[in-house]
Amino acid sequence: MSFAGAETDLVRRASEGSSEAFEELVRKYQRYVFNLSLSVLGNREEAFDATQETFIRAWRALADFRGDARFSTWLYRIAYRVSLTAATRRRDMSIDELPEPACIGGESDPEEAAERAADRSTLRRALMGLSPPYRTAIVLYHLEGLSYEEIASITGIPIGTVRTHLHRGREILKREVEKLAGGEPR
Amino acid sequence: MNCSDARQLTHSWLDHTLDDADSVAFQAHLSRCPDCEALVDGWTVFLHDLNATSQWEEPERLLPAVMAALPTQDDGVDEDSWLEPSALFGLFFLCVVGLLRASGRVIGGLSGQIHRAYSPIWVTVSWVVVGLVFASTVVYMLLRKRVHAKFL
Repeated sequence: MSFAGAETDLVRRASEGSSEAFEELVRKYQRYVFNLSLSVLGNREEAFDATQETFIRAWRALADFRGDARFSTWLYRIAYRVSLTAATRRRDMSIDELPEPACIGGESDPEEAAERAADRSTLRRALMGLSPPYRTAIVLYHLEGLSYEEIASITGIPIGTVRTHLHRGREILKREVEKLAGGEPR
Repeated sequence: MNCSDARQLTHSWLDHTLDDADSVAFQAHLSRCPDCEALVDGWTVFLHDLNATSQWEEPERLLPAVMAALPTQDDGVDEDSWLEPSALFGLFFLCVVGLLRASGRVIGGLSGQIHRAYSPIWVTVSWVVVGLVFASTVVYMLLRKRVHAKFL
């Protein structure tokens, strides 16, 4: 069975009430949903709650999922709506202590690895300092690998605005990284 | 293309969303403008770092928490409940009997006397009301599963 076929089968079984199939879907998408929620909310605990709420809503609404969009896009839309609702309940976005992500590896030289880790840490702090629309566009495009079209579909924002958020967000992010690193502009 | 034009197109070029004509003009400008070329090089390195930034890890307790919080059939509306259809048909039956009695078509009580009709307009109105209640209840029950899935 193909990768897409296996997922379709999981979605079908989950919509028929199989919690085992749904657990597989949660396992597969929890990081994506959590990162989307985190990008909107900027707070790890609230992102946790929003992710949990997203999957509960998805479970309840799975019978309604017709497969017109990809399952991931459908799930992201729920996650985005849930996160926005949580964000409007609490306007003061805080940058709390975010743990460093799993090491992506690849550096053989420990010194270089340490330097790259420091760069990434700076990048992450700057990213969390962005305003939510810019941060969401950047997280969805660069960290989650979605296209302009997919982001527009998930957020309900026109594609031109997605592009603007992404480009402006990058400009601000690059300036912030340079400021935090205290170095010369790259 | 001048430097100002090139800088406006930089992000689209980096995202490979420029059309062919703009892309050729952009590259031609870079080949003769070291400042813009350096700027684009800087952006390329920056975006490479950004793309290499991995996602944040979700807490380990997330998956168990989600699975523990999933509603079971007992938690919400029981789609296969026998209670609602039974109540619906009970109500309908009572309405029909009441109307038939009111319209004098059935024998009332133990006396064996036939109740005579009330005013026909009231009988008609009563039938219309019962019909509307019945129809709206049936429609509600048919749509309930969809409404429930959509809003919850």
